[in-house]
Amino acid sequence: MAKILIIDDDHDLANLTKITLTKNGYKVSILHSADNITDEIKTLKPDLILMDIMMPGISGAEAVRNLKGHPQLKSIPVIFLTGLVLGGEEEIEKPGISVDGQMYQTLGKPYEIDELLAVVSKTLNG
Amino acid sequence: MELMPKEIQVLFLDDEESIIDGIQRLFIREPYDIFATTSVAQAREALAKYKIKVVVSDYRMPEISGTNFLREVKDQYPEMVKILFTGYTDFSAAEEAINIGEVYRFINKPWKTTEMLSTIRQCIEHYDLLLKAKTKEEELELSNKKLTAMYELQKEFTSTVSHELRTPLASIKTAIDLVVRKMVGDITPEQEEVLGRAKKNVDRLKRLIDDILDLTKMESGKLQMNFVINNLNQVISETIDAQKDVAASRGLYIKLELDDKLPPVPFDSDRITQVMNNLLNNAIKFTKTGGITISSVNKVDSNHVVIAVKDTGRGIAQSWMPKVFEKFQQMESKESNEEGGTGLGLAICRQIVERHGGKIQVESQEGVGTTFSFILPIQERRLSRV
Repeated sequence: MAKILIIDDDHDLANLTKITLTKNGYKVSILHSADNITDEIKTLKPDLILMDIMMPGISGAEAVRNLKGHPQLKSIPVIFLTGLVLGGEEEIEKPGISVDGQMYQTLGKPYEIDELLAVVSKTLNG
Repeated sequence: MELMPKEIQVLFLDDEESIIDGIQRLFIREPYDIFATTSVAQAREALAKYKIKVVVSDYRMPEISGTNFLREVKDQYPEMVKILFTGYTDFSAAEEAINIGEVYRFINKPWKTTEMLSTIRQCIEHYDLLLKAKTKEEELELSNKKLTAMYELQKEFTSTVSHELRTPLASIKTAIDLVVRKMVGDITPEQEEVLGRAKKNVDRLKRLIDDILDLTKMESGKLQMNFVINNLNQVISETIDAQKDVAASRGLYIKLELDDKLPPVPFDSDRITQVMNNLLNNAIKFTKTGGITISSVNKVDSNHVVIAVKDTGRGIAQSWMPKVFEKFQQMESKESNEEGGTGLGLAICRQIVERHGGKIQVESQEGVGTTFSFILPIQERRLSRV
């Protein structure tokens, strides 16, 4: 059973996304902030992280940079889940968001359940 | 008749008393006053005190050379028009004066009255024109700055509002979708209907936010277009494949009249798909009987291709035609509000087509049908024109 970690300060959406994924056979954990989460991620060992971008404290993009600095964590795939569209540090371009030149799969909020499931399954399996 | 005091607009500096006397008499009838002096100190005072437009200076003076005096004027009052007043035909002096003092004209001694007066008049005119142009330029710059600031503010506002709207909307949508799709347990048909209506409107709100953002980006020219030379017919066919079931479920035919000889044209495939989807959606929405014909035509002679979506729907009233491509203009309909649009679809279509260097238009007859058509330029011709 693949393990997914949701990092989103929006409790409602995080929990609804968790329900959606759990019903489809994934094991899901939630963190509501990206601050000081390295140890927790090391314990949880997720196969995939669904990451919000605009969060109080460390942003999703910074969190990705932090992960890249850890040999054990840098290969965990990340999908951005965001309501951000125009401007800001990371402008969404097709097919996703780029942080330091690397493209990440991105799902806009609100998402379609089928889209979420497709992106998650595609990222986990290929 | 009461005499208005005349404004001092011209300064004369010459070391010869007789010349100054002559000059003073010369300008009595002019609509402006002059200040004529043999003293450099007085001349400097006058420059500071009056709104001088034109400075006329003798070339050879014991206190200061005309070139140096005019340079002084140039440095302190760059807008004033400078004239060198000289009795010598001295080319190197003239050259020096032009280079150093930015002298606009020369007046030779002895002078002719008419020439002197007309030269000074022209110089005043020149000054007034420059001032006017400068003021206009400053005004333009200011309004430009204001516009840029307003645009930045609007962009930030749109972006923030969009994010703030999307966040709660995301939870509402996922919650409704989970229930409607029975992923969290069974629901009664009545509950399904109630939530179905909520879902439809949440989806509409989502489309509205997307459309507003799209249009904001397009109108500000910030939308990145990805032009690739491609086959338009294929994109058209794909759009129709995706929508033909909807049309069929309403008993409408869809007919394709695609030109096989359509040349490849440069276009952004996602955006043209968006245009086709919008036009097709509208056609299906406003057609009760009959159907929709989609055509492509190669107009190589007039250097473009034409894509048309023609329906047999209820048509558009003449009074509505001018507003069709405007934002938030929706035809009022008694028949159905089952699929409320955002009122932005056609405005977006127009932006997209125009960004391709094309044009979109509509023809319609009430009770007969509507044809939306757009043209896209063929690249080879566009390039050869450049």
